Amino acid sequence: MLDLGFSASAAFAVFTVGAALAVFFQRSLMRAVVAITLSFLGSAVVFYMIGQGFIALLQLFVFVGGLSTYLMVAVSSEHREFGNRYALVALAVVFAAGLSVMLMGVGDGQPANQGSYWYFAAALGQYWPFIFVISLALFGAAMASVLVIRRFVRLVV
Amino acid sequence: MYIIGACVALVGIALAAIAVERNLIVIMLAVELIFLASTIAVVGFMSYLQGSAIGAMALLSIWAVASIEIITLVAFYVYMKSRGYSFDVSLLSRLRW
Repeated sequence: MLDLGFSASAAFAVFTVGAALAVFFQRSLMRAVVAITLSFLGSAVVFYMIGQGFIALLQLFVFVGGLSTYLMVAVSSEHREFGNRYALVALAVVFAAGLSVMLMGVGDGQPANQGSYWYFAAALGQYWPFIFVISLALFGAAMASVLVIRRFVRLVV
Repeated sequence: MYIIGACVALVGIALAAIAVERNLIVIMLAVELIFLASTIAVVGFMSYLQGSAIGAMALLSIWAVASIEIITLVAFYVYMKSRGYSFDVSLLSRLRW
């Protein structure tokens, strides 16, 4: 008989692949962005279920909370009709509940979660010049993007 | 094993989309899915080895490149939309404007 945790994480892996497939069957770009956000969300749940709670949190904060929102804001500038407010509120509650569960899970003393965090901390200490270069690259890309958008955004909105 | 299967499926879907799709934004989203597949593979590898400093650095690198790709994608989207350029890659034959 299959383990329940294994089955659930496998189910979320299938969900991630299904959401990725859904990206290319949408007629609206906004819906494609929502589908890829669901794919990121599914991958975060898979990370959590295989014992990497810290990475799941980072995935949620950076990709679902940050970059997907950024994409949605950019794309939604031309899709004002999109959205059911009740559906958005329900989605926000689901995201908040998922984040809360993961935040509680990170501190529960499980060896895999602790290992995940401590290995990250060790990596940060050991390879700090590399992380500095990554940070500079991200900062440069973000600034260039802001400059481009600032120059052209008046014509879009 | 299912982690590797999910990665292979994601890369296959993304490659098929890159080959078939004509919308530049959707192609960039497909590239983003390849980054997601590599993220899942690295995390599966880290989980298998009970954490790894090299794995953590690989993960940070993939996240950084994927983030830069999305930031660049939004800038491209705003620029091309404001200039009225088509997103159809078959029409994008000019390398410079």
